[in-house]
Amino acid sequence: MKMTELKKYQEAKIVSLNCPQFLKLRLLELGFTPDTTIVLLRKALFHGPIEISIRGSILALRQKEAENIEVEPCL
Amino acid sequence: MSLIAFVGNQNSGKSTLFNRLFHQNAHTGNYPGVTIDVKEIEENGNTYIDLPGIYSLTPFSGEEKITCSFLKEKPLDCILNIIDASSPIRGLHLTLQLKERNLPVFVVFNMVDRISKEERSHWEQILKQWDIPYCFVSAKTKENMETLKKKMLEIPRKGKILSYFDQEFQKCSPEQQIEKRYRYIDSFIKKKNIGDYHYDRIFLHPFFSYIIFFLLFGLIFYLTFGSLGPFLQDQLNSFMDFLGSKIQNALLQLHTSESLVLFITDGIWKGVTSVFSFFPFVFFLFFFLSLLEDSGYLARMTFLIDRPMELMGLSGRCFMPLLLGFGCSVPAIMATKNLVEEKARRKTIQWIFFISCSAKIVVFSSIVPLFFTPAWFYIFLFYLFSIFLGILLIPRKNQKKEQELFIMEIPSYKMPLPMNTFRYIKTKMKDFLLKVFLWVFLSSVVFYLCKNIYLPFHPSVSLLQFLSEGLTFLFAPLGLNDWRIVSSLISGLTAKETILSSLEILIGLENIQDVFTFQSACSFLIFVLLYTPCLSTCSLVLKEIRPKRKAVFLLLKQFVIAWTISFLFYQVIL
Repeated sequence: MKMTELKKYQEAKIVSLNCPQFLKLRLLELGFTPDTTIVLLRKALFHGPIEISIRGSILALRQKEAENIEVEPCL
Repeated sequence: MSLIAFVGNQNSGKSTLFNRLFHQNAHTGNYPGVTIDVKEIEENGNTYIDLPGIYSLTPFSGEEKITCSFLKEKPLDCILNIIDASSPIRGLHLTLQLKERNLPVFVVFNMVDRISKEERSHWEQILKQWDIPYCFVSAKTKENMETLKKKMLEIPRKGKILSYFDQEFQKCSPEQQIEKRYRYIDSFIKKKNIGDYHYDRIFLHPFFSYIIFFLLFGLIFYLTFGSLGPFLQDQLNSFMDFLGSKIQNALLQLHTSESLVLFITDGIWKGVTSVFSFFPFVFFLFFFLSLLEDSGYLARMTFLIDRPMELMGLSGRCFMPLLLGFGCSVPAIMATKNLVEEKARRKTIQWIFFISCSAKIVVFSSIVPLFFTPAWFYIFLFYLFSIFLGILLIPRKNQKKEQELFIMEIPSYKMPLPMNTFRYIKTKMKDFLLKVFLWVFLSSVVFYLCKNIYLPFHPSVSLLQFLSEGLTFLFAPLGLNDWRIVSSLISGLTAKETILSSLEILIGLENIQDVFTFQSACSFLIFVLLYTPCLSTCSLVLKEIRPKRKAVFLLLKQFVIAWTISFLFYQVIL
């Protein structure tokens, strides 16, 4: 599923990045590598950015970009 | 003779560190084919270069290309790899890349004031294992800054080759390489405890967060412009007046000629005083801004407001400067410094031109009630009108279809340290005085001279009147064909509140209704609302926007916009 479809506080693993090469490399460099565990913390109102926890820090990214990130929820 | 380059992620605090180390003496280097500033400085025969921020050695944007080609071509003696200590993993990825190319890397963990002792020793251990020389500094608290200055002159050892970097690795695709590097870094990292995020339940609550947001800003604006600011301003003004009268007395006792005394007290001293009249507002705004930033709330605010800002073609980061713009354009433009991207900065500055500062309120609250009732409603309408024009006239989408990535670190909550706040305000105030003083001072001296020098061939006509009459042709199409109105607009370039004081002196508030018709008052107010900001703001704009011609263009454009809109109103609509 897409990262944006996760529920609040749901943990998931990154599966793949489905975006143009430019964005893909950029996201990888920022640490969004496959198998990395992330937790969705919250979504801002009005389709705003989402907040996730990744590699010990908390990042905010826009839904537009997060939609490209395919994740697999952990049970 | 060493060549030392500063390299790091965009928000690693690299430029702050660079400026702090060399006290902002850096000049802009000229490198062929480079349109972006590369800061360069020479000290004791060594050359230091602040390269544009990069995330990796795979070049995408213009900035990254410069940095990469620089690293490839120049014989660098030392590469200072600046890393944000509060989230170093992304920075270390770049470190590994640099090391792979066998470059002389020296790692600098910046902002160590933001991490705990345990975390610090954890990172220290990793760097030791990797055999990379390092230094822990804080540009903010100046911790270890002197050590760093010494250490970076020693040429760093190349160190051992790390185990992941084998033949197989070199055959991999860039994507696989990135993954492998991260896997390698991950293998060293103990489970990191995430800092304090409990308060986010309230501060980022879907509903309460926005209430807190507005209350907090209401409070900050009330304190800055409603209570503390004006109080300090009154105190400063009476102190400056007191000093002024002392100077006047001293000069009179020295039998200085009367016109010279007037020039010194009314021209020069008034100029100095008017600089200090900005001072309290700038001071308090930056005080609160520093608290917001250090506590970690500013990042949350950016998160909350990003969506509405995105619809305006900006990002959440641009919110703070815009909000400050309602107070005073000077701190607003100073705050745009935090925006990394040149384009975002330029757009935000353009927006600030459309946001009416509190000095304009002085003019509006005196003139509007003479022509409109209820006044408060129309003042509000004027404000809305200028924001509406901003939305209309500032391009929302970037012409080039460059993919921008909005990714932002949300730091954990921290108690702001008084020392940091103090240092922050100190640098900001110094910045403010250095950049603004000369302009405000000169412009008020020149304005005084224009007002008081009379033409030799026409002794009853002042230079100001002469110039204003000359310029009246420009304003006549707007219905403003009285030289006194024109000169009040000119004086508004020194500071917007002087528009009112000039009108008072030259016309008298009670006669204003005779000079203006309803239509010309409208066009006057619209012109005041939109035209080129005061000179102190202009001087900042010239420093923040590069190249300079773009800044000049924007300032002139603002004048043209104001003229055109007023013209349309006067000639067509009304």
